[in-house]
Amino acid sequence: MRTLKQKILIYGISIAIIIGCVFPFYWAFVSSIKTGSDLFKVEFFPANPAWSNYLEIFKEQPFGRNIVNSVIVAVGTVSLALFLAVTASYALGRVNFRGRTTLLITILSVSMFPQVAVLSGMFELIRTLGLYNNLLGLILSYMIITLPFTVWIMTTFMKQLPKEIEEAAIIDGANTWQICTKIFLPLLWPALVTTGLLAFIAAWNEFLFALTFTIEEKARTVPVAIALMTGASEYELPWGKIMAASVVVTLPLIMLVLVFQRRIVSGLTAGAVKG
Amino acid sequence: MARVIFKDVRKSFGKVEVIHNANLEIQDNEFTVFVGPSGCGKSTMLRMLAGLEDVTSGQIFIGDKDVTTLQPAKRKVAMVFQSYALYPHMTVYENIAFGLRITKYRKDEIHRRVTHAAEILQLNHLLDRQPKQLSGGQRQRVAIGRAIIRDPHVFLFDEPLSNLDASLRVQMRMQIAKLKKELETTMIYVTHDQTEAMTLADKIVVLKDGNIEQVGKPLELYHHPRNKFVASFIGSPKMNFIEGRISKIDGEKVTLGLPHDKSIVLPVSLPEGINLKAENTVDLGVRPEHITQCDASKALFTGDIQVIEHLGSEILAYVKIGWGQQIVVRLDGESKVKIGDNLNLCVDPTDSHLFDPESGLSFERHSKQ
Repeated sequence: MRTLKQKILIYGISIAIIIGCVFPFYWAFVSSIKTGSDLFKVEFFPANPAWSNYLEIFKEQPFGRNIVNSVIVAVGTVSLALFLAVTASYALGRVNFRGRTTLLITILSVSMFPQVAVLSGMFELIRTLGLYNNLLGLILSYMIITLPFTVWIMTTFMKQLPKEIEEAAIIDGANTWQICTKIFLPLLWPALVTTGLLAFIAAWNEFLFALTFTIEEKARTVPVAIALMTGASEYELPWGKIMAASVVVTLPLIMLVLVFQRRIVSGLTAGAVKG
Repeated sequence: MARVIFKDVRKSFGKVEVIHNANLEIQDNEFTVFVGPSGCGKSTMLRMLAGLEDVTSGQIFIGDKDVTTLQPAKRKVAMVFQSYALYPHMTVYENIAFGLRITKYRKDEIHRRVTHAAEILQLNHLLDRQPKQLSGGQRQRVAIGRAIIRDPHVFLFDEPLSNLDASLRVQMRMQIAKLKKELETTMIYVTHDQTEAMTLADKIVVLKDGNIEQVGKPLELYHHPRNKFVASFIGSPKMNFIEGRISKIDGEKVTLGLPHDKSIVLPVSLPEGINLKAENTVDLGVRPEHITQCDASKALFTGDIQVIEHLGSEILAYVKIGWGQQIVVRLDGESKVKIGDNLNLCVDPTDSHLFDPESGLSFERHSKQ
């Protein structure tokens, strides 16, 4: 039995952690419904909520376009990365060949380099391919960044699938493509959702590449668009609008996580695929 | 529906050769069991036949076709795995139908075949279930259904009953025996359990360390084991081996000296190429079920009971006889024996086997057919 003291401790710490996590977002929301000098008053429940910020961000700049850009880039990155990761993980997880471990380690070591270190190289690549100021350039560069961990996670899951299931499918006359799509993909569904979501979040939040590889406002993704928001004069930072924009772009992520929540949990315990 | 032939088949994993020059012919419609201790290469033989393992050298034929390098799906074989290997995300129906669906059979044809297979295996009421909702025996029946539906020329079973509990195993064994009658297909069955081998097989192939030790009908192996390994592997409890000394070899009769100055005359003759003389040591082989209690005057062995195992219908008694040896005797379940009792035991010479201890080869017996 837990004593009262322990209970208080557990709940106390839990509440502290929840406040620590949620408060910044709450504060962003509160700030987003304030205008002018109200912003600099400490108010937890604003007396006169003003929703004008939410309208203005869409009116004064192509913020809607930016969101669409972000969606295109994130979805593109996720689909491309997952497709490549699944096919690669089949080879890395289920086919024995020389240098497999070396290859896996090489893939992992790609993710060791900080973004800044590869930035200039990536810039050259994007320029050479003629993808500067183009969403395809962002999709390509994000895919390069997300592939190492998607490949690694998918390979781990792929290795866990029992060999007999694959052999049974071979005897049943399935070719490699059918084994992948009809047998492995359904079994890897939780893993796909988990890695896909991680890749989506990474692509959604990415700032440095998005800033470097785009120039026009209408080619920007939301993180850059928010960071480059300006007020009426160059000395004013429009905090209210910035916060409104932040809230708007956080919502899709929360929605995604809530929708796939169950899948993520079962993804973490996906060892239970025993025939 | 097809013969199976292994011709000079060898298999190596890296530098280790696990199958040494296997030659084997399995007739059409024959139920053949590969049996042997773990690591003897029996599963590897099966997997080479299925096409899941490459053959290092030699050839495999199914029917008249050389399938050595053919893809598994084109060999017209079906396989049942030890771990069932059902597709966990599909229903029973989909599991059974999978092979036909990907080879683009018509829907009504698939339905007809699945229903038929389900009827044979009494799976009709389970077709909508997922594998995880089934018991072990049911899962294995689905796995068999998946094999039946492909209408294979050769059926392969890789230790299909090993994951089941004892009573279910007996039940499934009977079902497989029934299936064998209904399907009339060449079937190859791998097991390490000699009881399964004896009860199911038309032909048993005993393997050890990648060598085929003997091929024959179950009773042939029981009565005429080619060597000591087969003799000890077939039959339960194991055959007793008692060290004895040859006192006389007389054409088709060998006289053997045993502990306590006993002797026995066996109707056997020396195996080919083996040269043994009087005073040489040999191993007398007697199965526990062939040893009986008798008068002290006629007894071949006498000794005290060390351990008793009650099995209900029978009793297994471990008796210590001379020269520091112990034998197992099967007694009637009703007999009132206890530890420490002195038993006088007789053996019919025609039930006995003799082995060369060096090569393990058995002497040729003239008594049993």
